[in-house]
Amino acid sequence: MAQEEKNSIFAIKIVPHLDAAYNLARGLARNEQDAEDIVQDAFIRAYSYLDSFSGKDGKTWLLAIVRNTFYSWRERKQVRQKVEVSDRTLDDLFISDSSRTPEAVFESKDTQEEVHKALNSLPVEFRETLILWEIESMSYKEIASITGVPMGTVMSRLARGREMLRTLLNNRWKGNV
Amino acid sequence: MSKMQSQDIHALLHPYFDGELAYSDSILFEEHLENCPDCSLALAEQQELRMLMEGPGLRYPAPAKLRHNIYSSYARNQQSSRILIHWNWKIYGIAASIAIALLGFWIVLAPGSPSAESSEAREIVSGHLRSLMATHLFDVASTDQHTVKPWFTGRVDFSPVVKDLSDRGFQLLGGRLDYIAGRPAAALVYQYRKHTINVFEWNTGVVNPQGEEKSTMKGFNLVAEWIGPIKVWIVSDLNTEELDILANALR
Ligand SMILES: [Zn+2]
Repeated sequence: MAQEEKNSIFAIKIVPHLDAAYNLARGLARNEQDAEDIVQDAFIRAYSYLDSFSGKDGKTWLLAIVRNTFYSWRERKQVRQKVEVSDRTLDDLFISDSSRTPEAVFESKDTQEEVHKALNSLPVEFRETLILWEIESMSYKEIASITGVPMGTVMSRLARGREMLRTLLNNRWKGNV
Repeated sequence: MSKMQSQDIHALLHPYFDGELAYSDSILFEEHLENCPDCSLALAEQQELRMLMEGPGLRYPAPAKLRHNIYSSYARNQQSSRILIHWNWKIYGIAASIAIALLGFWIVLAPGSPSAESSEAREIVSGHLRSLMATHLFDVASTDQHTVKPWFTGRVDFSPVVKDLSDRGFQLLGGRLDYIAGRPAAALVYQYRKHTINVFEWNTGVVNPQGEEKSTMKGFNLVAEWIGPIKVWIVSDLNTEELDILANALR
């Protein structure tokens, strides 16, 4: 691909999805600075792999790269830290972290903040599926393509992820912990 | 999908709610819904949850700094490629004859392991690209070689070649620590007529008799040379002749 052509494809098809890329990275990394680094890195990868882009659906293509970038970033981080919160199950989050009672997880009174915290506490595969569906408005098919699982798995992850979210929020709001 | 177990039909609740069901399944689920208060309640609860997730609290626009970095790196590429195309046309005639000359040059000087060479060149190009795309162009930003050079002391195991070549149009902008093929390398950044040049240098530990190497990759030109045991790669979207001027000046 000639560089001129490459640049214009990049500008027209990829760069406009920057907000979506950041949103996903932020939801996955759960941290502002890491999300910036991941997006920065993902755009470099996207630019260097642009030859493999079919020209169709830049958003799906870019978000798959953002996701891959996140996973390789997390792998490097895990090597350093050995323990990664997002790999624990939901129950572990509440039981193993003795300094934080379930109430403390949702200490904020702000509803949005509570929903945000609940979402952040979901295991990564449910988190990414919910973000892609509810926030990025991707279809089941697109989510399947980004996350590399069958559509049936996307469907069951959405159902399970929503159930976990509702349980977390209900426990908080109805006080029946 | 004909007769469904109620267990199966309940699996349709979420895709129904999401509008992801085929028409026939959708009809099937609606029929079920009329006779199943559990599903009606579940749908209402899902609606409630969706409303909670609709607020701005879960949506983050990209920070201005990140947006600026991505946009400006793209704009820089755009601009340089236009200049590159312009140059390509201008020097087309000369280029053909140079290409033939270079071919001879390559045959004489091509090293024993071309794949290792080209993977090195690839690393250089991606290092260059990385520096253009990311915020991380400098660890030390200074036009003064007496500030830039000492910065590398203790960071790399040699004294990098850093020169003030502003009288020849090459403005030193700064330097950073980079990694090429897993080795720490000094990266010096120069600017020549608004084009960014990265000069990567590392200590090979041996004095190598190889001469200058040239290559083009992804629209960037590369010139490599040896200064004693130090391997120097110069990369930019400038043409090879201009990079040669810099290579000679650094020697
Ligand atoms: Zn039902």
